[in-house]
Amino acid sequence: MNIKLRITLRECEGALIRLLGTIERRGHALVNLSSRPAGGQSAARNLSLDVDCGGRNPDILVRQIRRLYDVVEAAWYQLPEYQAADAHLSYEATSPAMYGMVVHRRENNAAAEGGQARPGVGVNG
Amino acid sequence: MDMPSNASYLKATQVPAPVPLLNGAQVLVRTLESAGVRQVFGYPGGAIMPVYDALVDAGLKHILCRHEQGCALAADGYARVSGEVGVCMATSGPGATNLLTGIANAYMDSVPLLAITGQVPTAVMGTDAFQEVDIFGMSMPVVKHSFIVRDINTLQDTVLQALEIAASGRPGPVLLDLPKDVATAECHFRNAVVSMHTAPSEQYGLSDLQRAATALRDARRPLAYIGGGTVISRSHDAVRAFVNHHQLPVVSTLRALGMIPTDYPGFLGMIGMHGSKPANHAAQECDLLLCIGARFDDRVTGKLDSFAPKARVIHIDIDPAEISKLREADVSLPGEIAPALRFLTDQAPLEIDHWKKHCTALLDASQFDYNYPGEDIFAPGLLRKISQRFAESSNGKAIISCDVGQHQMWVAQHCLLTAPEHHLSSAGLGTMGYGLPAAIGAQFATPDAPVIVVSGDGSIMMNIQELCTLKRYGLPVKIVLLDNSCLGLVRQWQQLFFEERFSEVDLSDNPDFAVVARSFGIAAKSIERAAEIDEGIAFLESTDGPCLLHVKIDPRANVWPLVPPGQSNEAMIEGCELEDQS
Ligand SMILES: Cc1ncc(C[n+]2csc(CCOP(=O)(O)OP(=O)(O)O)c2C)c(N)n1
Repeated sequence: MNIKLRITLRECEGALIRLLGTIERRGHALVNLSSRPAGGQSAARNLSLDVDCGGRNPDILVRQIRRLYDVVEAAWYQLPEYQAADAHLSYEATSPAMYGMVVHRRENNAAAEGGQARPGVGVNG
Repeated sequence: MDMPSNASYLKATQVPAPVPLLNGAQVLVRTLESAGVRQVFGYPGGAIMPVYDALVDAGLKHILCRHEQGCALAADGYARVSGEVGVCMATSGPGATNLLTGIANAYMDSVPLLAITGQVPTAVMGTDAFQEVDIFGMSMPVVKHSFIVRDINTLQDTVLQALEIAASGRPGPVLLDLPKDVATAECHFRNAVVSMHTAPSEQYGLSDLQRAATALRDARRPLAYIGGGTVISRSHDAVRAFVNHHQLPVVSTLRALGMIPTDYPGFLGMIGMHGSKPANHAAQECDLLLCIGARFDDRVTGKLDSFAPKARVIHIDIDPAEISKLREADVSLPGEIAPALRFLTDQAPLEIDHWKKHCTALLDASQFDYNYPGEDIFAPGLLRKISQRFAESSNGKAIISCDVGQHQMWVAQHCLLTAPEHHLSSAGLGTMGYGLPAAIGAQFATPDAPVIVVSGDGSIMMNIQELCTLKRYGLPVKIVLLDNSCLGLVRQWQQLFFEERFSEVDLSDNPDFAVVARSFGIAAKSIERAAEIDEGIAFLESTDGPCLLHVKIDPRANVWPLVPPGQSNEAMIEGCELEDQS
């Protein structure tokens, strides 16, 4: 099943890596990620992630994410099939220094389908 | 709702004015002291030297283990017995990586642990400096949380937060990585008031409890399945009152052994791969499984699809992420165990006589026979006798700390365990080398209780250097080393599941363990015949300081019963069945 995760994350060292690690280690595949500051006074970010859960239960994943200390809130929504098929890796984290991570580019599948290739935006890379 | 907290480290720091100027290392040590930490298990090195300098003038007791893994596992044992956060520390690089197994061990068994690592100065972090490893990144999958303290002004708060996170909710290990320049920078030590962010957590309500009560009342064959969560939350009274009130049959995981007194008539023993026949059969037959602080671990369930196939499930756990993770719960009770059980105890006693009689019959039909013919030492009988003797002489205070292997299962099956925190066993990670350092931690936590290590000839070698720690601190830990000249559990699996193709399990070139122990300054004795058992036990009882009883046993001895990996618990095989076949 493909789902969209909406997560509010406190801006702490390692927070994003911890989150992404949890998603992958718990057996889910990250397909797409975007991020923007949560705004207001809070030092937090809102993340939107498309995740392929395979046969695993998204409810459990969300509970596992919620218990991460840096996570302020997490929720999931079912992703329509056509969006899942078009999904590619594009990282839009706006503050690479904050996350201190390197994301490897991955070819998206749009070119293979005859569409316009959209290179993934790599953070620090 | 806020995560329930069983600790109050946040309000710990109270210093009288005027506030002194301290360096980071001193701030760390003072904060630990002010939070009530009494001892740390550690090993020094370059990046953490400022902290060791601060320790010279501190009240905080430092226990020098002889390997960082020993430090982490000793802190784990300390935490399990005391209920406090265990604290360990190491230098950067190899010191930090050596802690990792212990951190993972604490993670898998939800043990509150604070691991402090020195780090290279912030200016050279990320440059592959001498003894630099990214321990923050390496440990991420096995910590509850972690911090790199880059600013001296946040250190005090971070230490308190780290302790609080380790202890609160579902406990676990927290890593605090301290760069050397932060440890030497200065700031004012102050009255710390720390605010904690806690993510909203699910919590059961009255209607959930009522649904659970109804499900319980409607059941004809209810079974309580208790796990480590009951121990961590110290829900002993609530669990015992609940099962007593309803006279409910109970099965236990490895971690909860000792929670239900063995003379309670409905106690069916340990469930799972090396569980008892009554426990596994009752689970297969029950129509309601009340899972209390357990997590349907694969060692418990065997083939998950065929586990407790007729049962509805009520699941109580402080960690909502455990509920329905592997087995869908019909009634979910995320939250604290004790209040939920008190609610269920307030209901009218269940009328389940027929089921209780059936469970009693299961028990009666599978009494273990400790009469073992021949001259060899029969490990289950020996362990049972030792545990009974020490339980009696210590008024139920004796602690048994196990290593990993066949001997660990024999302890679980045959030892008299009077309380779950008196049984230290690496359940989730199965860490060979756990027993001795955990016993060291346990002995520091309870100086007056007898602490007994049960180890194997493979496991003891994993942390044998800690014999030195026993000697250094004069800890009267008693080691029972079951020497079968092989990696017994692996040998057993090769015998049963790999067509007796024995591969790298022979340890017949072991050293003379009694000589090894004596060379560390530890009294030792070897026995190998059943007739010497009483002499061996007398040696353990009469030796004041640390001692080691080296027990030679038959290399072919196996642990029974056993559920073959990946199969249903119904496929349990017992030794005699197998021997009949062969
Ligand atoms: C650190 C570690 N390495 C390997 C294993 C795999 N393992 C599990 S039990 C076992 C054999 C243990 O041998 P021993 O300590 O002599 O105990 P016995 O089974 O003979 O009682 C091994 C190698 C492990 N659990 N932990």
